[in-house]
Amino acid sequence: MLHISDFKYALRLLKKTPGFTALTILVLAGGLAISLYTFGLLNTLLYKDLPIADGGSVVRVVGERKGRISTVNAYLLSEIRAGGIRSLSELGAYSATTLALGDKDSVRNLSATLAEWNVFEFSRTKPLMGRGFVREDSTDGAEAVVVLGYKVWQSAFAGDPNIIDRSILLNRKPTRVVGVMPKDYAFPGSASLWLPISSKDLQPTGYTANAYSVYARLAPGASHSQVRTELQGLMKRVQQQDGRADSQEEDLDGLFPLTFQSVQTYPEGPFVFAILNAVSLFILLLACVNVGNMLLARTNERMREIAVRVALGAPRLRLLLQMTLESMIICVSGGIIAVLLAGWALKSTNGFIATVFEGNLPYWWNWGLDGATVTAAAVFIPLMILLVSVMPVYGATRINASALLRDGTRGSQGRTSGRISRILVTIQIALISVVLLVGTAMGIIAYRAGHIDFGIDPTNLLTMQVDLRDSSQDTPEKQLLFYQRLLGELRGSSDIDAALLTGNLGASRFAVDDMEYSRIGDYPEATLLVTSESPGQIGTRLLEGRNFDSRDSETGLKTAVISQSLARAYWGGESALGKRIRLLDEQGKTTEQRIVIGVVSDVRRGENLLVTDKNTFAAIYQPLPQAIEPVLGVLVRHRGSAAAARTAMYRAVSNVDAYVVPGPIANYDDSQKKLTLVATTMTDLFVRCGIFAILLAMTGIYGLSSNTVVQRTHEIGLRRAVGATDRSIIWLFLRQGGRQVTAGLLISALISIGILYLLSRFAGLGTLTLVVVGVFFAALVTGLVMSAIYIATRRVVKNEPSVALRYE
Amino acid sequence: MTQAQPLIQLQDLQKSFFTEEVETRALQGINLSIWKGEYVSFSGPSGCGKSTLLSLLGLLDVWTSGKYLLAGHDVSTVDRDERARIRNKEIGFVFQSFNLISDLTVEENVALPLTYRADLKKGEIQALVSRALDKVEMSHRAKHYPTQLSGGQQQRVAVARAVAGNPSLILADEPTGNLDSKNAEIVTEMLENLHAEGSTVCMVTHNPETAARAPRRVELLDGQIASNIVVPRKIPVAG
Ligand SMILES: Nc1ncnc2c1ncn2[C@@H]1O[C@H](COP(=O)(O)OP(=O)(O)OP(=O)(O)O)[C@@H](O)[C@H]1O
Ligand SMILES: [Mg+2]
Repeated sequence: MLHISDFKYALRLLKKTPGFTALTILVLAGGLAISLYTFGLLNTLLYKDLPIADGGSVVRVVGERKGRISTVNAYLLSEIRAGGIRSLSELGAYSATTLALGDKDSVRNLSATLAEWNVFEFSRTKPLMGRGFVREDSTDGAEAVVVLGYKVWQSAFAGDPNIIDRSILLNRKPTRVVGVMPKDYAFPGSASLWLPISSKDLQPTGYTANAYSVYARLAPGASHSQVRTELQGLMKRVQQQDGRADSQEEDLDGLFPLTFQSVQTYPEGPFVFAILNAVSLFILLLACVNVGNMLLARTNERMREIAVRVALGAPRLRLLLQMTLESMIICVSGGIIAVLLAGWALKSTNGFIATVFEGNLPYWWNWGLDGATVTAAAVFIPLMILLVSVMPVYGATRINASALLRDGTRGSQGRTSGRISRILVTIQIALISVVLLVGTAMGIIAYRAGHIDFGIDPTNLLTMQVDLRDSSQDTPEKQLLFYQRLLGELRGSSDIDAALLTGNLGASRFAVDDMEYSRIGDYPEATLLVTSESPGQIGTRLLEGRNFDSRDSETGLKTAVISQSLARAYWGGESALGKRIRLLDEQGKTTEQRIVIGVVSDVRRGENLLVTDKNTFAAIYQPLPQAIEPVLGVLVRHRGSAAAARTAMYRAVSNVDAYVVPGPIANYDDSQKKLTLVATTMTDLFVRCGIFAILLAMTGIYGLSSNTVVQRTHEIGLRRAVGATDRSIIWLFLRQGGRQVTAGLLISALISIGILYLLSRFAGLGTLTLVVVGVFFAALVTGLVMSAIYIATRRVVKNEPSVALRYE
Repeated sequence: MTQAQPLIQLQDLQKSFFTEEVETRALQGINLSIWKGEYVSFSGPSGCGKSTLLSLLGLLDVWTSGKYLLAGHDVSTVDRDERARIRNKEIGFVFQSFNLISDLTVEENVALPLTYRADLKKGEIQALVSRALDKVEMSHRAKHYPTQLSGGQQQRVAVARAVAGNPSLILADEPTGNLDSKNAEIVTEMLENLHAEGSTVCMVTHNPETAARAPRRVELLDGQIASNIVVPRKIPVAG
């Protein structure tokens, strides 16, 4: 049907207009690259198989509580094992932690994974050196062993070939190295070394049982939904036979499998995936529409040539194939460029994200040109060819060859192609407006996420966790003493300006004064915190009353400091000082009554940082001596260099108790940024792509609009010949443009409202802002179309009518 | 009625085109008077400037030098809007390639010049359009689109459009050029009828027979008038 000569002919045509050809290829390449990049980025972020043998069957079994992912406790875990979940073939527990490597003077924090002994078999990976774990490693009282990751082996032990059987200090405990894992292996996430979980810790001891993350493999042929059904059934059974009100699994609302990636982005991941992909597909569509239109314009130019060919007996089908061939060459060239571009962009994303995660990037998040992305390209390119050729081919099939040749009239070409161009303008207006509006909404989210005001001045702030649970500080009295001495050490250091201990106990119901409600759910909620006295200015700002001091001791009056929002909400203009707050337990019983002695500035807290609700800023602080916690955060404002302060912090801990392991120290600013990282990164990248889309669309829409005018040059000439004034012509075209703009904007409003409504469930958008932005873009698009039409019409009208009448 | 002055008076009219520094002198000093009610044919070899002259007569283009008096008024100096108004009220065009607007129906095409007049009401336009379509016997196709008509039918519609507003001057540039002899005859007769009814008609034609039927024949050569023959019996009688 098609001959080599057709191919050569198509190539020759493309070569004849190199600028045109390059432009079409580039526009398509840009559009497709964005789609591929978005797809590749999100697919890896959410769905890709783990890079281990048969990685597609690996899942995590997670619990869900109040819409958030939670770990599974050992009690429920043993029930899962005993319950014979047939759709799961292997199972294991792990938890991530931070360990201190080395002794007092050269401590180094490493992310470690406590894993069941089967972890390496599970992940089908053999050690590079030595051995993995064996069952005996996890028996109670067994010798402490560790398997090192490749990176740690290289960096901390200089790749020592005799590392096996060497004893190293982990959390000050001598531990024997038994193996080294291969490069690029960090299962289940970003482990730099592995320790076996002791079988004692996995014991199903009821509600005090430890909680773990769970890895598992789907049995051959089993699906996620099968696993979900089985697990859900098991959970219900366990909860019924158990019946204890305080057991942990009672609280779980669900138990189900998720991919490792989706755990990180639960629950909005799939939704974000869908929206971003939809928007990027819109961009691709835009690119196709633009190129299709350019080709259509060219078909129109070649109308007579095609008519001559038809008249000379060329089979219509062959002519159409020939035109398709041209689109094909353009699309495939654009496609190849797009794949390369997307691959390059994905690779550089890797580097970018890795620096943000500071070495804690899960190893399976590795971006690049992968199979899925190439497959996506293989799906998109034919679709592109179809989309791009449909317009010119449709235009060509409408050629009435005999009419065109017999009459030499322009009439027969104008009608359909003119209508297509007008529909294209409308579609383009609709698409571009959606992309602009949704893109801006995302931009706003990104900006907000990146600029969340946490309410605390982050300058020179460092944070560190201290965990006394496994230490000899095992009573509240000892712990309080430890904390007080720690604060003393910190405040004594010349590198430290101010220090504070603080802990977040989660949300709690409360009542003010004599407020009573019939149902516990009606009582307001606030974040309950514990905090030490703080003579220096650190953390929140005092607005009224006083901060905690020595008066707020164990035996002193039960006191509380509350946040400004909370004070305003319940006491309005009145001072909150001296008012009573009752803290309630889950059943609504009063557990404590506290007197408000101070009001401090708001600090942003809450599950979703992008949504501000009435609980975001509501906080109740209790004095440390009255609410001792074994795990607290240390907040320090340093004077000189951060490095000196970090050393001082480690030293302070070991000066108080050499056997307490300090947690990793983080820059407060960085740690807050990490909370919003995924949102920021995604949206930021998206906005960048959006800029290309906007340029594409702006030029496209401008070109299309003026094209609708230029196509009608002859008509303009005629209208003027019969007496139309310049003004009436311009007015006519502007009116017609106005109708297209209105139609396009209406369509886009419908689509955008839908998307934005869904988006608003995950991040506060601000209706007013969006309306303003929407109106702005509507005006922008209208202005663009109208000025394109105006300028083009003016240009045509400027000439004498005889010129326009001669226009072909 | 005494005609004190010709309808059209050209004095040393010149037109040059400039393309890529090359000057084409399409008209090189035309002196011509056409009286109201005349039927003039223009002929001459290809490229001699017939179409150029006609588009100048129709104010579709501007001349390089010389003077053009239309009904005694110097139209060299009128502004664009006034020229549009003159084209609209005083001139009707018939083109070789019909030039109907494909998006408009037959009756909309015919109504087109009338819609640019501020003084006509909808009903009046309607009446003028149906009268014009009756004249060319195309009333039955009023709702059709141009592409649904044969070439001859399209040209009849174009004639209807040209005459709908009762212009004082009808300009036709090879109106039969794209038509077979039968349709050509119909269209030529239409123009002759219009002339008989008192219209002034200027027609460019290649066809010697058609040219010969005109009472006044102007021949151009290289942008100049080569001959200007008036067949005496057809001169409209003054008075
Ligand atoms: N827009 C233009 N630009 C440049 N030259 C032009 C233009 N229009 C006409 N000409 C030139 O002016 C001269 C007269 O052209 P015109 O179209 O008036 O000839 P014509 O007598 O109508 O010929 P034909 O019988 O072939 O239609 C020609 O040499 C032509 O090339
Ligand atoms: Mg001509």
